[in-house]
Amino acid sequence: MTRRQIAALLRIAVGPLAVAGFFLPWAHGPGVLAANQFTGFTLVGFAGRLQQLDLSLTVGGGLWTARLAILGVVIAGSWQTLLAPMHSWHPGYPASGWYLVVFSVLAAAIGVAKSGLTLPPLGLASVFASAAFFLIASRVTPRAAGAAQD
Amino acid sequence: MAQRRYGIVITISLAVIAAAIGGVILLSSGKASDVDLTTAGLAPADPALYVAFNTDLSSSQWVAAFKLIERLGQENPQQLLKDTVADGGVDWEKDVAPFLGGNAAIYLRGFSISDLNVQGAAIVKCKDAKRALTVVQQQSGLDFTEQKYGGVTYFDGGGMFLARIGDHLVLAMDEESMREVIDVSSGKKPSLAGVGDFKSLRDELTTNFLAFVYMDASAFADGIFGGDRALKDALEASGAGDLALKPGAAVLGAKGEGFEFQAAAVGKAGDVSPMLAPRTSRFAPMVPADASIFFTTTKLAQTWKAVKGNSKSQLDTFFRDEGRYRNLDEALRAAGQEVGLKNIEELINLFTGEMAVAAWFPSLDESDAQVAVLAEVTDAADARRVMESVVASSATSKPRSETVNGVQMTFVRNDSGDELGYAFTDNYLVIGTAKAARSVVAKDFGPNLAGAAKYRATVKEMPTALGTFAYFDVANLLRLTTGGVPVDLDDAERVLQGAIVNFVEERGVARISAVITIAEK
Repeated sequence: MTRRQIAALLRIAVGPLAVAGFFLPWAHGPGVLAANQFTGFTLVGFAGRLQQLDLSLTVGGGLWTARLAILGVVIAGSWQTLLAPMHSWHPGYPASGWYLVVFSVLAAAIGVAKSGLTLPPLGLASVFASAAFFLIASRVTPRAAGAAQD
Repeated sequence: MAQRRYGIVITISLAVIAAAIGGVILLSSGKASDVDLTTAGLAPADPALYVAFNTDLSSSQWVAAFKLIERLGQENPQQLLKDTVADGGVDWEKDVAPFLGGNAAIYLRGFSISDLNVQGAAIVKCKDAKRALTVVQQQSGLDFTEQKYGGVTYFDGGGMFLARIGDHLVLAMDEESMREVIDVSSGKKPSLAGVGDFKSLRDELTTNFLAFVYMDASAFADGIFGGDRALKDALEASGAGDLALKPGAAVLGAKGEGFEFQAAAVGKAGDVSPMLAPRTSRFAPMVPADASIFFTTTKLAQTWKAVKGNSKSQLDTFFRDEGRYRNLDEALRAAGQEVGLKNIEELINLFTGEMAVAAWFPSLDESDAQVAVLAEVTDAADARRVMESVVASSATSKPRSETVNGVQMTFVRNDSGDELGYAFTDNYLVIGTAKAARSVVAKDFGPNLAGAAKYRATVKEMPTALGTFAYFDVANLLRLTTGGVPVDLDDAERVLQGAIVNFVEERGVARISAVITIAEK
């Protein structure tokens, strides 16, 4: 198998990995929610339920941002799934890929700050892997990561 | 050029996909999920009492409950919960979190007050049942010996029996109950989850709650009265047996702006059914917005007729046994004569439609209560005759007439020196304290109750339609009982708003529902 073939396989895996990761565990709840394991999907819902609380505008806004940021993962994953096989020239392809990379870096930084260096839960690990695959694939076939050049 | 056009199509498709996925996930993930009562699958089919709790602290119910508790003045209740547990030397993450798998229940069976005997068990759906078992064993301080029954290992601590059945931890106070749960788990005995009455009551009540209670009143009566049939027979003979002795269930929950309660019974409402029909009150818009108490019911006359028709002999016996009257009819006549009528049924028979009582306190002083009774009447002439007799029986002055808002009103002073007023208009009767009755007729009180924000917010939170109900303006009533607006109202009193207790029959099921609303600080 050539490097380009491996890169093609990795590129195709990015989307499904991110989508699957969204529905797999991301984190345990803090404090009294220690028994709760949250997936990306349940985090979006839980943040929505928290918005019912009497929150300040800043905290409420922060929750909306967090919900949309997490939601962005599954949207980016589905864009990658649709565009990677034949339409990587479309600007949506690098945009969604880089979104996964930036999100993964931020999530990893938050994770390390909160829990130190530990293995991430399966769902988050899948999202990190999808971001890593995108980076690797775009290094082997830079064309894919820079649609603007097409 | 072709790729450019193709690119636009793809861009639009991506935008549509993003909107669809985002919309579906935002809607479905935020939706309140039902509490899956897995513990009912391990409880035997015939408990006297089964009480289950939602143990998912991230559920919409708990999030709402924590919010309402905060409004009541408790800052960060989640942290308080954790700290309270920690104060007892228990680590939340290691020793409590393993128990929180979604629901936990206690059931009681073989209940007897006479020999202080209770059979039953606690069943907990665990996040980590193995760890939960260890925690109980360690915290109990008992020495457990291993036993086996029906292929399940259980632990005998001498008065406490523990077992892990799948994701569930079972804790029984007697060995028989433990073996029963094991039999249920293996399918040898039927479970509560398969009982028709239990399933229908669960479906009738909201499936998203903090606590759920199922009670077989018949089994309770057996336990309390030692199987004596006397009470059961009396209840059945009175016609109340269907409601009182059939299984019932209740849920307690938190949502939006308040705590809610709802109860339902398998039995039919029977004779009182006409009073429990879902309806919109005609009189709520006819009393002032600051009414602190508002009670409404309907078809009292029809209900009385049905009750009397079906239970006359029991009521005759009751009055005969009381010793004052020979039978019901004599008691009704005597009651009527006390208010200037031949028979009190003359008064009862007036109330064929809605009847409401409203009370308000313009100066927030209990002694300045304004009370009005409003009732739909079909025969105004007969109603006038009855009311004139009733009022004349206690009047100490000659009635005087006055026209208010085009309606002729009658005012009279009673033997306590208070002035009463009444009038008939638009097929309804209004009677009450002179000020209140005049105000209702004159419609000069400004905003009405049906349009009041507090009343509307309370009605909005009701889990059922309204039937016969009482509304309380809790905030106002609290101020009354303390004799004016207290400076040091604590947080809880400051945020309590309205409350409704309601009786209604919906889809053939008699229900009690209640709600208390809590305002933002």
